[in-house]
Amino acid sequence: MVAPRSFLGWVIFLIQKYYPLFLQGCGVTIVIAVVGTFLGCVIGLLVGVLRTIPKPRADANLLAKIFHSVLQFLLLAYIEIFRGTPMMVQAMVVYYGSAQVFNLNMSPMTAGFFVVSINTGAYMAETVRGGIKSIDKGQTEAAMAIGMSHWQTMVSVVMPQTIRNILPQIGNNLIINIKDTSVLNVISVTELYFNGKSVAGIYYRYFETYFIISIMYFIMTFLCAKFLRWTEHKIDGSGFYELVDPEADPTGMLAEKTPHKPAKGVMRIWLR
Amino acid sequence: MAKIMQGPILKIKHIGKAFGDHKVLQDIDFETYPKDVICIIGASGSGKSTLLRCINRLETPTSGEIEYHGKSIFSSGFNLSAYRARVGMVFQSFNLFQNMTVLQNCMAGTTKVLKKSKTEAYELAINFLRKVGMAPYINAKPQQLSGGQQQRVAIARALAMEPEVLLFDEPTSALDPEMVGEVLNVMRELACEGLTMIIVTHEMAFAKDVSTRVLFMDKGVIAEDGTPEEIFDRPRNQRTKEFLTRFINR
Repeated sequence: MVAPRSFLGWVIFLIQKYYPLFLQGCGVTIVIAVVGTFLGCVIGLLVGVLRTIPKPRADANLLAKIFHSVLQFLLLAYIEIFRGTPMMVQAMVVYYGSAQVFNLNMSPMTAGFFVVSINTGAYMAETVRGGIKSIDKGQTEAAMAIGMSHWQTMVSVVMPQTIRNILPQIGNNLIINIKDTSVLNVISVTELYFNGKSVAGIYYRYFETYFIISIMYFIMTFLCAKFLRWTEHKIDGSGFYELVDPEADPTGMLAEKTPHKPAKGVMRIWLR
Repeated sequence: MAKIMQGPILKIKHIGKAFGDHKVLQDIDFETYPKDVICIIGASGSGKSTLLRCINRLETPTSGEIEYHGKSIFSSGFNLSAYRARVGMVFQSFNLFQNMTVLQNCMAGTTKVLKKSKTEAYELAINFLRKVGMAPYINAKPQQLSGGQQQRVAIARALAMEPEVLLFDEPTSALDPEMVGEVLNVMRELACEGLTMIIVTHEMAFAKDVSTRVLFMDKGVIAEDGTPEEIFDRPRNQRTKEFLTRFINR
């Protein structure tokens, strides 16, 4: 084998020889980031909604009051602890702690999913709480005024608007998670950074290897950012509406049709 | 006499509301019979909106009682959801659901609260949207409409529930002068058709025109109560006189 002499030569050489390792790393990174963000959002939505439950009134029964305080304390403790400690340390504690204390033989992957989800959940909980609070009180009142229950109001009026409003923050979290899964290399999760480190060590080509993986990280985050913007755009729907003649459709099936499908598609959003 | 035989729909009995030491409502007492159009007028801060919000239980009065067909709306077994479905409310700031289209706004209550079928809910929605002249806009989102259009949709949303009483909380106060007319016309039509309404408003000409009864509120109490002629043409209370003069001279 003739060793490459230039920087570019090494880059090409490493890619040609180790592309399965890089790609596998990308795969693991994206899976952990996406699944972790998704589960984190579910946890965040749940915790965020629970955190907005109003304090029971002074005349409520004692048990309800105690339950409320204990629940709020636990939720706050969860948020503060997981926001307040580094994910890398959490990964170590969970991975080694689960084996030592609970005798649980967690695979590095499982520990990875767990840590990323629980960590994202802590951040998302606060985002969701803020999102719910930002919804105009009039929306809730209007829903109540036509007789909707608290649950119906949440599900059909408040949450859809909250989720739309916090979508940019969900995007932030996904991008942060793609990058931050690299800390899971401490528990030997074979994500991109971990695989990169292995490749770099073979020929001691650190700069070239990390240059390659930095580009790969960037491609992943960039594509995710574009995808999220596209999703936001989809949710917002068209800026136009079409006037319809209700007389033309007495069957009432008009309602099932989507109002307006813009044909511009992905390309235009890509260019924005 | 027919009125008395049927009995009142709503009986507001001596309600009071205080926020801390500040008394917003004091000893408010009146009844609403079918086909009544009660206009509540008065200066800002006189408690008109709070009164309306108490009737819909968006606020809880600190004293007194409100009865709906003889049953207290504050009793523990009271079905609040069913009550609110029967007593609708139209807000000053429209409060259309921002995440839904015009049509979805008008079907939300009928499908989710009254559990009507989609076809039935659609029929109701389109019927009332047509009445307020908004049927062509069923696919629009609220933020794409003007204030007057939004308020008309909000009225259609309330009507789709086929309520027994409709409460209006300053429905035209957030509108441009030229949009006020279109909303008032819709409300005038509803009054003619015999819908029972309680309207908080600053539109004196409208109040004089459509109401069967006018309540003048001042500093949290009903200062004067009578027919539109009595209130507008022959006000007895000094405060009513002052208030109306200021409005006419504006």
